[in-house]
Amino acid sequence: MKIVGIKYCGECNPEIDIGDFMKRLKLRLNSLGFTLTTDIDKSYGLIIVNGCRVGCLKREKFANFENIVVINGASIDSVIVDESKLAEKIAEKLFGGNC
Amino acid sequence: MKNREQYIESLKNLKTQVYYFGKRIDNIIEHPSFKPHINSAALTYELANMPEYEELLTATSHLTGKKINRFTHIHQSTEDLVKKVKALRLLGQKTGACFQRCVGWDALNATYTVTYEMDQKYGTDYHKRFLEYLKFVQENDLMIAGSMTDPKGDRSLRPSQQADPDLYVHIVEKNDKGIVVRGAKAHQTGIINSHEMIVMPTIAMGEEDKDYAVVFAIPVDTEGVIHIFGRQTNDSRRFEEGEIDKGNYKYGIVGGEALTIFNDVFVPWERVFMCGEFDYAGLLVERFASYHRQNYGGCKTGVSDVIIGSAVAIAEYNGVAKASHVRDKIVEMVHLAETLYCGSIACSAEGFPTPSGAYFVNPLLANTVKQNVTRYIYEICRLCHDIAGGIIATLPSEADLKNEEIGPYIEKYLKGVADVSTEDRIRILRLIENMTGGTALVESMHGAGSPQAQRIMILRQANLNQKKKLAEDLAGIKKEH
Ligand SMILES: Cc1cc2nc3c(=O)[nH]c(=O)nc-3n(C[C@H](O)[C@H](O)[C@H](O)COP(=O)(O)OP(=O)(O)OC[C@H]3O[C@@H](n4cnc5c(N)ncnc54)[C@H](O)[C@@H]3O)c2cc1C
Repeated sequence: MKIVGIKYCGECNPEIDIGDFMKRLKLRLNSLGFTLTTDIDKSYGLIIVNGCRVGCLKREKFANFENIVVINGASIDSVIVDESKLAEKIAEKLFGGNC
Repeated sequence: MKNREQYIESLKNLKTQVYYFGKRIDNIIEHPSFKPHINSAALTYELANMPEYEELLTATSHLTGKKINRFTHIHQSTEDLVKKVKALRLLGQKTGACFQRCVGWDALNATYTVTYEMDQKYGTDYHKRFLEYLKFVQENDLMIAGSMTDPKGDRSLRPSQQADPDLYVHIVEKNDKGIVVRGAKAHQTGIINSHEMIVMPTIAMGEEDKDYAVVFAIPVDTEGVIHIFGRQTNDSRRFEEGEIDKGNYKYGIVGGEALTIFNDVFVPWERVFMCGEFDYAGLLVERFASYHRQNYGGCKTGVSDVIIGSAVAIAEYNGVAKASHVRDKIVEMVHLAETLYCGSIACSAEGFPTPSGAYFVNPLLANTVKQNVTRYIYEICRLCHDIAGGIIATLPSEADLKNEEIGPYIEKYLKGVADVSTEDRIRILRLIENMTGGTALVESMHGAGSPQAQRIMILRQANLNQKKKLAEDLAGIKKEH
């Protein structure tokens, strides 16, 4: 199974339900043959999960990754997304048309 | 960048139609009612040219790479947002009043971010048009009025439901050259001494209000635009001799507001930045309002610094500076003012980029600051009144103080401590009277939106479900989340 890295901001005051989001994300990635890891050095890509739009965890901190998706609350790479669609959209971002 | 003199000179070239006290005013620059407001706005130009203040009051344009007045800048980082608050506090301290340019600045930033997103959805070219306009504004260091508030008529009805359709600005004609608009905007800060105005909708719109979903920029002296300047508390003192009774005689109070009428005004297409995209009116209002609410813990903290200073001074002049309750009240005033500042700094530090790349404040925190302003400024002023004494309500006039016959009585009987002149005591008392009552207070309540407008935004942003879940988890309530 391939692995995708995940990094959390710390979740001090999230605008989204991170538990629910993670459940959906895991299911979606599993269906594509991927699993999540916090051991990000070995991962295929990286999902940065910021609980709110402030986005404390910045993309620039992970410059060595080619394939990064940044969630800032209910938005992906600054584009507002329906919270229930976040997991789906992340998969699209990471794997393009292959999912 | 313009300097103070160039700004004032540039106003002379405008043919702005201004009415006040039932008369058309042709020379606004020399008019005693407008001079203080012009002085205040002019300080945004003057200080920007001084090395001591350039770090806060200038920026580098992200469009041209040139040095510009910060009041025309699009925020590129949280550092820019923080500098905005600091710049506003500085100017609040220097003027003790409103220096008017923040409204247009917020209109620039809100329109910049929303036109970008609108174009992405609809394939329109509003953002491109806006960039050209922005370059023009930055290049010429223009002062922009931010025109959002419509007269609104019956507040329970939508714009299209009003008995008079003109109670919200709307499009009455579209042709190949542009649009024609009709209506009015109320409470227009600094508009009579601005160069341009950006007109925006004041509420979220539905499809039936399509013609009201309009954003555009025009010179304030465009044909068909009339400005009726509003009265302020004690404004007729500006016609009197002397300076003491005017209080803040150099800079006045608040910004000098007008009711602006649009009598079938033509706007060319290159100046139209929203035209019927009703689903973006709400976003624009939210962006503008949050940027604008951010300001209030900056400028009002600066103004509060002056009010606190005047309380310290009058306590000394009255001989009560060492009284423990007075010191405690001053501590409370400082605490309230700095709490406002904390909020504005926080909403800026917690800002984030919009899809356009421009930075936006944290709207929950920005609305919280403004909500606090609607209370804390009243409390700061109440404490100042307490310390100053009833004399702020009963002081004789400057004319009596200067009168040969009765002046000596005033000198004698209105003296405080021996080493401070009666005139100085009266000057501080008049400043307090001017800055803490009437028109000055109302701005803190309604400027940038009435308290309920913030509460609606706070509720929308508060994520109550997450808070409930936190409580349920701690209480051991097991639910399938
Ligand atoms: C000094 C000053 C400067 C200003 N400068 C500017 C400026 O430069 N540009 C600009 O565009 N505006 C400006 N404003 C306008 C400001 O944004 C408005 O005053 C504010 O939004 C409130 O609107 P209003 O004055 O029409 O009051 P109203 O909207 O009449 O509010 C009065 C009360 O009615 C309530 N209310 C209103 N509508 C409803 C409703 N539908 N349902 C329930 N309750 C309702 C409000 O919550 C409030 O409690 C300025 C205001 C002041 C006082």
